[in-house]
Amino acid sequence: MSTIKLLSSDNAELAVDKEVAERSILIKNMLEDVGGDMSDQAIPIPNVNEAVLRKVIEWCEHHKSDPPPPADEDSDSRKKSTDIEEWDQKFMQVDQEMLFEIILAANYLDIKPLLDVGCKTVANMIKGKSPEEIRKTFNIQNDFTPEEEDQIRRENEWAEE
Amino acid sequence: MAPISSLPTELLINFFSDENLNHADLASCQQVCKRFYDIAKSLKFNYTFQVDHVNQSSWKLIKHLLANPALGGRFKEINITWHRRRVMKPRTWVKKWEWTEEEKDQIQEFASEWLHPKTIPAILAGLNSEALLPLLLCYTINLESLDVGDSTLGIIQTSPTARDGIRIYRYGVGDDSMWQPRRPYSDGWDLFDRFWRSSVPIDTNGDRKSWLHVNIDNGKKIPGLWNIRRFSHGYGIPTNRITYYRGWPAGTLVKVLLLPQLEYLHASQATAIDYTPLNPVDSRTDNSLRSNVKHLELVDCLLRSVDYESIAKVTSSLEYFRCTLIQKLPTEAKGHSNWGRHTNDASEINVEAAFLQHNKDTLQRSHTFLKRSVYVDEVYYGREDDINYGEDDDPSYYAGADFDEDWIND
Repeated sequence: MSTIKLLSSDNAELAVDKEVAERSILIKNMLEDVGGDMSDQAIPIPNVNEAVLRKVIEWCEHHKSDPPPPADEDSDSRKKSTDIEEWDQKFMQVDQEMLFEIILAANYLDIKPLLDVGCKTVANMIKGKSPEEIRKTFNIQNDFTPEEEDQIRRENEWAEE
Repeated sequence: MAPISSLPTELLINFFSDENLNHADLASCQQVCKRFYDIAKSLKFNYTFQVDHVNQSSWKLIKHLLANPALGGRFKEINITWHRRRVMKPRTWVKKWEWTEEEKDQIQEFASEWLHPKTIPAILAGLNSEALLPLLLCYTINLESLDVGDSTLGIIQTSPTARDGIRIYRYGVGDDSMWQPRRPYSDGWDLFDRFWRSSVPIDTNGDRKSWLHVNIDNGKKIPGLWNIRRFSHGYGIPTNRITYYRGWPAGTLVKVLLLPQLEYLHASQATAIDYTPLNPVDSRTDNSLRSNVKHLELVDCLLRSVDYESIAKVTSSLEYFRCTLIQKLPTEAKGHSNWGRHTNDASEINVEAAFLQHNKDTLQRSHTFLKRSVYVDEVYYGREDDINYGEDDDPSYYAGADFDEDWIND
């Protein structure tokens, strides 16, 4: 199996199986463009630092043999699978800074399933929370004036459950 | 700066558009900070429509829509949950909703253009919030998906006596006065009927329907239905015992198949038995009777072989077909238990053949999945299952002294 090298933004060189790295559509396309031979030269990933790149590679390793998203099969499509699988949940148990770095990296490297897992993780942190709880969760400053806050609350009264 | 604030807008849009979040979550996001507000205020959302929930959320929504109709354009999906009043549980008895005179006029005017005329008194009566669903669909012009969930058609659950119905009605309208029926009172059901009739759709055949069914059958081009691509409809089965279940009208199922943009249809427990029979239609002669659906699932429907034939005839572009035939039912027993004499003639082989024949160009045998249901293996457990209504309330609460026990039981 062929190995390629990736160069993180902080100049760390990481060796990865080509198959694993190709979970990133960006890298896959890049390799195709140069005809696949990158064995002697590291591919620069200027937006991602070493710690994050290691995490992303860890994810790609684990998911390297995932089948493509299932087409129609004999199962009940009404039960949507919106849950995150257990391994991914554990993988995403990192501090918020790292979580967002992973999401940014997945977005840049074009690794859609990883991006989806990341977004779902954040959505689950929002789900069912009040505005104040969301602010606390993400450490966000309330920058509304009391009047604006009141106005927006009234706009959204219909949506309270 | 909070890490989340440094993210580009496209990612925040991704978070807020996650299918796990609904309208209430999006409303909370809007109230967090200015940046969240600007992003979330124009996004489309998934709405959970709660039928007869004590929080009266569906009434509040319509009130808001009457004043802000543009909001209707932001509904992407509607998922329905059913919270009908339960006889033994007063905490589920939603109060009557009151409209202002101005709102009543607005509803009259708007609904008369799109809705079956009987829907309007049901909306105005303020007791059955399911009647608001067709009205909501008039506003939701960009709706892509409607999931009716496991519908509960009876307005009071489960099997109310006339007395229960009257008690619950009086609670709903806030009439706490001591009230004595004048003797001799002919029949409690007359009173029950007088209180609830305008809220519940009953057609001349006695079919049990929802206002959604009435308005789909009505055939007007309600904007929110005309554009949907996905439709799911199940039926809440109170017990495992097949004898108690009647499902929802398969005639409506055929109408849904004919919605012009529909690509996906999941139907469980639709029935043509004890309902108006399906009319055999000939899609070969009339293009308006030809469905564009690509993905069809029929699960545990009470249908005869000829009904499957009628449904197959409407389809012409299926790429996927899954069908679970209802379990073999008795043919000899009394009442509903003998449904088997109608339904047992449908077999995996003849149903599959009918659909393959009518979808020759698009449907391959490898994409048809047929089986027969064994006991209750296909029963859905709805989104409502995690609602814990708790123990029954103190029976003396509702069996109060406000009327005489025996006037109604004779």
